[in-house]
Amino acid sequence: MLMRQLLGITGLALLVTGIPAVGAELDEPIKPLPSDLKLDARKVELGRTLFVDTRFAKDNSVACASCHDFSHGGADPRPRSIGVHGELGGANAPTVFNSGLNFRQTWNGSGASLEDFLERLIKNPKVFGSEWADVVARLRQDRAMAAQFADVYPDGITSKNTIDAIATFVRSLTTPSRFDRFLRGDAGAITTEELQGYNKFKSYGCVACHQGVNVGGNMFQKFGVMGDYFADRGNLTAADLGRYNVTKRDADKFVFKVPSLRNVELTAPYFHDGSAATLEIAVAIMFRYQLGRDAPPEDKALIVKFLKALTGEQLPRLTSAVNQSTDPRTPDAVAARGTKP
Amino acid sequence: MKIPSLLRALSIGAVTFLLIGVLVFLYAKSSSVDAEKKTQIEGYLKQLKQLDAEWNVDVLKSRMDINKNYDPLTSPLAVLASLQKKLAEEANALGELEPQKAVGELQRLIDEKTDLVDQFKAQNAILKNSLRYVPTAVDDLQAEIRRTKRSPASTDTLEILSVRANQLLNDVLKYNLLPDSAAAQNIEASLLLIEASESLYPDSIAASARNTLRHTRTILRQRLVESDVLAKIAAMPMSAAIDRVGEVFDRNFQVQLTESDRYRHYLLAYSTFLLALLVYIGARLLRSYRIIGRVNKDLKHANETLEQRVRERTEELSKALRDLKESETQLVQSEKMASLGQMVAGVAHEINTPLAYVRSSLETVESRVTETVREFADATLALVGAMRSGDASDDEVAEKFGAASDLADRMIEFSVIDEIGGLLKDGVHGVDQITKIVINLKNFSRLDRTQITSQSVDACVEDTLQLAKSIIKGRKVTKILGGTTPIRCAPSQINQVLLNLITNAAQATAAESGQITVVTRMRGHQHIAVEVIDNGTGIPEDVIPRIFDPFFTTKAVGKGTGLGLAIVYKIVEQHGGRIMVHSKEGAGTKFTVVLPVAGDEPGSGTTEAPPSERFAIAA
Repeated sequence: MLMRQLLGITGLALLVTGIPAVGAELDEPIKPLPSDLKLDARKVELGRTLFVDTRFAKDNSVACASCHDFSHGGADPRPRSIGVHGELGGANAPTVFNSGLNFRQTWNGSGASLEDFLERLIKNPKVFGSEWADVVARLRQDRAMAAQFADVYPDGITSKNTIDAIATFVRSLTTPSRFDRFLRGDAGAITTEELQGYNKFKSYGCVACHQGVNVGGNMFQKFGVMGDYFADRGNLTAADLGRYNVTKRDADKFVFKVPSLRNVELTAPYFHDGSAATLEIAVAIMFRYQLGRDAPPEDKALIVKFLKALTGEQLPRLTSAVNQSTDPRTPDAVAARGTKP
Repeated sequence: MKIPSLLRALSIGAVTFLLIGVLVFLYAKSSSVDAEKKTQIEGYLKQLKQLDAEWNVDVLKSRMDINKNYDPLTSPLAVLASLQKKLAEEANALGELEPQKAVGELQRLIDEKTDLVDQFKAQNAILKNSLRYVPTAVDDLQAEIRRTKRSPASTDTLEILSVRANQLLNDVLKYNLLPDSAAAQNIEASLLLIEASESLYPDSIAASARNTLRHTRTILRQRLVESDVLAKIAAMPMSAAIDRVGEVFDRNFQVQLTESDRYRHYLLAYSTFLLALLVYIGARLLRSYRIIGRVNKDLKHANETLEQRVRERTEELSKALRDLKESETQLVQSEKMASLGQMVAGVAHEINTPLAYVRSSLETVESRVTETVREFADATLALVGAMRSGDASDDEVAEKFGAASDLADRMIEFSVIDEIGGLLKDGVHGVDQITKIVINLKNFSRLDRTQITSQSVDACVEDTLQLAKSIIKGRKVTKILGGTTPIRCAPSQINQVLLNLITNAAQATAAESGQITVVTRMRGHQHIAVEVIDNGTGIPEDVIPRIFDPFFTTKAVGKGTGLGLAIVYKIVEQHGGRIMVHSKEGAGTKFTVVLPVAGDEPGSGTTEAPPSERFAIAA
């Protein structure tokens, strides 16, 4: 009798929350994505518009979406990203998806927060190469844009509001996966192999760094703990020095932010240098240089299978579901133009 | 008058503004200490301390593998950043160097600690990885040894390796829990021993052993690094720095409090001053109001009594007017009486003359005619008696007849009848004369001013001249009467005017050579004019302006009232007319009275009962 009541309540909770809460949340090193982000939908939409706006670039050549390709897991398919005036960037642009959950932004953690990162990104001569005053002036000429801003921000278009809108949009880009459902107690959300892969992921020590809600993104780690990756790779670049570029401390040489592994299936090539073309190669490199050991191919395959379970079930889109525009400068068009400069 | 009042208003406004401005300034200064802000800052610092403590705990939890991920170590970052930002804003808002320095120092510490925590995570992850892997690695090594045991030559070596590997695992795990340099040296020694024998192992075992040694060395290294990082984290003077910030803010707050307290005293003093000022102004106002009230009351009272007083004054004035009117009437009357008195002698003489011949006529009739008539009547009676008796002789009758006839003849002869008639006629004439004089006198003296009639001024002139006969006796009087239209007037008053003017003319002239001319004529259709002209002494030029003034007289004291011409003037005025005088000393004077035909209501200005009634007897 009591059981039935409890089941009834659970069923009701199911109906209400829509979350297949079969069991309690698991006590795992990886945590599920927050289900409620509490973001201002208007800011998100404004940020979505701004994300494809090429007016941030001094020469109107690139938008945020140019490097953060939404059809490529929010990351850049090119080994190194290309910015304003065709400038070749130092690293492969990491995915923008779930990046709001990273404790720092960029590979070397130079962005203390999304806002701080965005503020400097516009000025970065290899990315947008603009001055905020010019950007704001350019945006203000656009009446529709001004109106959209005025709807959300009483003081209209300012650099602060622009950054806030984009940051809010970026924070909205979370990608709940089947594995999140598994973590929430839905044991059937992942396959047995994926579960086996997860256990390998843990037992081989990957999870030492790739943990937390973002499966990474909450710490720095030296690339090449158990082996000299850069010596083996060769062609050392400034970007390879990683966090050293921020702190100028020898201990921080080759130290990078541990990237999130969510959607890693989609975001090849891998690592800051875009050197690993496939997930299998990336996993192998990790085993060798980070874990300092080898594993049987079947174990690596299982780990890769697990990693693919981290792919979002519904990925964010650049075009708002409610705002399908026929404007020639559609986000997708810009994104397309941006990706093939 | 307007500009000064404007200036006054402006200056009052300016002073008020200034007074209020000072008050607001003092108030702002006295309440510049934001207690809420202080509480807020204290809240930030408390939150910071709490966060830092939790952070420390989370670091240890991660170290002890209780925290299975590093999220708890990164989650404080955003809150820390926002708290730092808020504190920096507060410090900047104060504009004081010390709080900024203290907050800056705290910020530096937090950054340093963040960095240390980042290091801890990295080192801890490596340590964890190796710790997790070392047992597996040793297992793998043991499995490998078991697999390659067949070679007897290597059996001892591998046996030793197996034992050493197990020992190593033991030591390393122990070391991880209780790291001390002796244990480290022990492990290092074991590692060196294994390494030294490496060449003796088959390749697969050698690789596996190398792997184990690598990770064991990693543990040794990372454990020290981690301890070092943890020690550094533990040594971070976070709490002190937070307290220091609190102190600095608190000191600043105290300074502000002292200052604000000072200003509060100023404010108090100033408020007292303002209050005193207000009280003073209030008192002034109250006094003003009291004065105004009193004046108002007085005014009200005056207003109330005013009517009464006005009534009284009106009464007094009315009485005075009445008295004046009365005395004026009396004066007029007395003047009239005076002029009348002057006339009385003349009038008496006037009456005397006809009276004398009435008397002489009657005496003549009595003395002469009465005897003759009686004789004739006797003779006639005797004749008639004799004829009726029958016993008288014819002689007797004839004698008696003859006597009567003689008498009748004589009467005819001496025209006794005619004489009697003449004498009686004279007597009647005399009586007529007297009657006329009496009527004139009565007419003249009539005081009934309301008796307005249509009267010809010509007639008045005639009446007056008749009445004034004795006064103008001897002067040559010329009347040139223009047959003027009768005018609406009080004839007795017009008579009085004329009498006065004629009397004056008479008095101004000598009886022998005096000439008085009275002229009446029409002046247009609406007015008549009467001129009284004499060839007398004339009026001195300096006297002319005063001749109509009451009580002005050139006559000896007791001779004239000085009211004659004043009354004349008044009467003419009341009739709506004008009086003019032309005079030349030694040549004569001409008075001209112009009166409207339609007349004006004489005495219309008075509502008094005609004084005539009172003086009717005197008249």
